[in-house]
Amino acid sequence: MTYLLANYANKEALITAAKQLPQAKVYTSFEIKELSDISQREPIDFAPIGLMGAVVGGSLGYFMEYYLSVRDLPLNLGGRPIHTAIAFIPVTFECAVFAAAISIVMAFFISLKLPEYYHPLFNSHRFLLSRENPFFIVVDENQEQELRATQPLSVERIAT
Amino acid sequence: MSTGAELSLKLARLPLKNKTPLAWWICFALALTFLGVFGISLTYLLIEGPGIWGNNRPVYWAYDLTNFIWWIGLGHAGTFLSAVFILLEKNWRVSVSRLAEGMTIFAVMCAGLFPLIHLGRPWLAYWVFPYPNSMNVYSNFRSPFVWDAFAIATYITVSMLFWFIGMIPDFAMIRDEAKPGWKRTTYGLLAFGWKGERNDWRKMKSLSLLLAAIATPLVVSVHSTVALDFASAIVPGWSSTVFPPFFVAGAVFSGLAMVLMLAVFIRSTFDIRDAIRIDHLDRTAQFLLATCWMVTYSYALEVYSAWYSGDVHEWNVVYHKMFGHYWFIYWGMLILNVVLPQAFWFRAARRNTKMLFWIGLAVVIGMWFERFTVIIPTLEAQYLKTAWRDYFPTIWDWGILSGTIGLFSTCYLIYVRWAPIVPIREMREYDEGESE
Repeated sequence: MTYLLANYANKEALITAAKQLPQAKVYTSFEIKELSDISQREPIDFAPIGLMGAVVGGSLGYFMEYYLSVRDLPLNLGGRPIHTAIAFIPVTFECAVFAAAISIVMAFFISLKLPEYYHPLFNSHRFLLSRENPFFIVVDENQEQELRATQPLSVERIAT
Repeated sequence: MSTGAELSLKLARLPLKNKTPLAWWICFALALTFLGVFGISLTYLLIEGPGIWGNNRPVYWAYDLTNFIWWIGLGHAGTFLSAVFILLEKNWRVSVSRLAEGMTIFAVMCAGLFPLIHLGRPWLAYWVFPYPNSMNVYSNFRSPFVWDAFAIATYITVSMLFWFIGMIPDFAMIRDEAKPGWKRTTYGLLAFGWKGERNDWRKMKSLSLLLAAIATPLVVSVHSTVALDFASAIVPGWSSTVFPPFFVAGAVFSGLAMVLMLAVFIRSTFDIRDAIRIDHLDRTAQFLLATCWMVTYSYALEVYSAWYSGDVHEWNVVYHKMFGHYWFIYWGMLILNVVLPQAFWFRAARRNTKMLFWIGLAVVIGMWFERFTVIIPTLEAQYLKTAWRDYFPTIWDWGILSGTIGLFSTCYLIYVRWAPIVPIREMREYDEGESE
């Protein structure tokens, strides 16, 4: 399959082109808010994943404290109660935060399919995020006419 | 080329330069010297045990705990500047956030060493975590020391995730700027194949905000948990509910001071004054002044509550701090932490890099003095006078302290030389008006 990689002079040209080619993949070296607004929005559901992670992590943390301190090794320390829910809060909280952070980061990497050390775009000498104008659009080759109508600086064929 | 594009290119080329500034080499040589001191001190400590330190009865905790709290405090500014200010949409944080995040990681790493080496048998440190073991003994979850282990482990993990994920797009830019070879391969590996598709950016933003929301309560909880080691003890001067907020304010105060020092050093050594701008340092100094007053309030409250309690033991501790044999540490702390930062009321001082550096250094030292007065004079003068005993540090106490400064400096200098020390893409967003 062949794709076309177009490079634009500035972000305004890229935004105009992206509006005309709503299905295109748009690549930049920094986030451009207007592009995000006109993108084909894939749902981003990291927050519920984080919440689930926090609930599972916190529950496991509390259960661990309960099981070890109450069931497995009930230590009588100065007559204090064995099941001290308040004293169990800090570890429960830390376990919840830890699990929430790990789960959203894993969800991020999975949803972006990273790490991805090979991609056909990396074969292009033009596709460099460090360039002065890191504004790129990738479309299917059957959209060549529409792409050229957006007046890119250059167009290159990328074979997968 | 737009200013933003020029600056991005300059920042992306910085880690790839073959020539390293002379100031960096001088600092690196010094850092390695202190790292050597650390190696010697640590080796001797592991052979002989903590008896080589000046700790005595009743000063069971001395430099080890002082240094631990000091380092943990210094490690607070990074996550604070990044996480809290992302949520508050304070975009001026961008230029100093990355250098502060790196500072956090290495400072917490140094802090974590002290509880380990204080154990005497550090190779058994894993006993603090609950794991199935043949002894059938588990950690006591009612103890703040176990809370500490969980709090610090979580804090350093979340801080590292936050730090590394923010760097991925910058590593991608450096990868694309590098010529084919080991540098491109290394930065390519670190970039994880980042391409910067618009949906990737949306996901990155969503992740950053969520991680910031998660990290913000951590900033407060970590030093609060450390403070509970003190507040839950029945030691006069320690058993107080003011300790957690007092410690958190002090931590942010010292961390910001360290950020100022490092920012001034980095911007002049690597000539990136156009990235780490004087306006950003000005605002950091304003924030430092605000935290200075929180700390000042705590100092005043400590004396007032001891007097108002009418408790002779509480008052003895305060009196011993002020007029005991470590009086100069107490008064030095007040001068360095309360008096000198008042210069930042003046705009000229906040925009003078020499002033920023030296006052930053003064506060970092002043905060070490504060940690010292919280621990050592307090433990020296508890309850019955017959039990009082003075503490004096040995050369090995100083060796470990200066050694961890060497360890921190070595790691940090390597970091500033080869990592994107200023967030390249966030600076571009800031300059292009894309930051929210």
